[in-house]
Amino acid sequence: MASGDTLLIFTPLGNESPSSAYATLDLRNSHPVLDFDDATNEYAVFTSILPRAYSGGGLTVSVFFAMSSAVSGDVLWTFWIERIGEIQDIDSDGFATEYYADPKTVSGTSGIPVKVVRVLTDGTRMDHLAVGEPFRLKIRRTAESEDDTASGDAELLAVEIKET
Amino acid sequence: MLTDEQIEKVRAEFAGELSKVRTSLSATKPQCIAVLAAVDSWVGANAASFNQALPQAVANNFSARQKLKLLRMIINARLEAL
Repeated sequence: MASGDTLLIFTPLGNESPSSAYATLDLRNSHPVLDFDDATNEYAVFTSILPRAYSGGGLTVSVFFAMSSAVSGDVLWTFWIERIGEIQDIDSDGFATEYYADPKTVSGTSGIPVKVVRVLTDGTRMDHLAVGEPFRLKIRRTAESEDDTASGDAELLAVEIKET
Repeated sequence: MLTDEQIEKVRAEFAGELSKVRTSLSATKPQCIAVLAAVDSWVGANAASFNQALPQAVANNFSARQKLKLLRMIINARLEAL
């Protein structure tokens, strides 16, 4: 598969909520969204299998999000990959190191989504995930950071993973 | 005066209410905290003035907590009338 091609798409309905500190499923004009609080770090988790079309170029994760009320300020997103494959005991978590995106300035219209992008190079940053293996992507709004300045909920609309 | 933690709690509650109804707000979290701190400071600075504005004949029959509740109820009523 060529660089830039979409590998996977996640939507709010595919979220596997953690047992605590989870983003809350909500509807905005019939669009399912995941609400991330502005005072407490909250998480969303998605499971998939790395498509066999992946050719080793690394992953680019893009999150599309709107804001419930804010029309100014930044949101800080953080990402983890957990390789499950045939090595991870699913009785425990094995997420690799966290990776931050640059703080993303929200739209001047709260309902217009903006896209934040984080590149995860092949290898360590992808937890050495290989094609055909199941994995999880964990996403956090790092609301407790001083770099996260936007007021009110951030609403995750969709996630794209493409080959870098 | 409220502590930083108390101010942040109020800010989060305020932001949560706006988020529920998706009311637009052009102010960041640090800006909201600054505004709330100013409001808290104003309340503190004007507490004596508020107390003196009450009918003195009965003002002493109310505890400080009851007076603050009355102030809150009047503000709530004015808010609902907007």
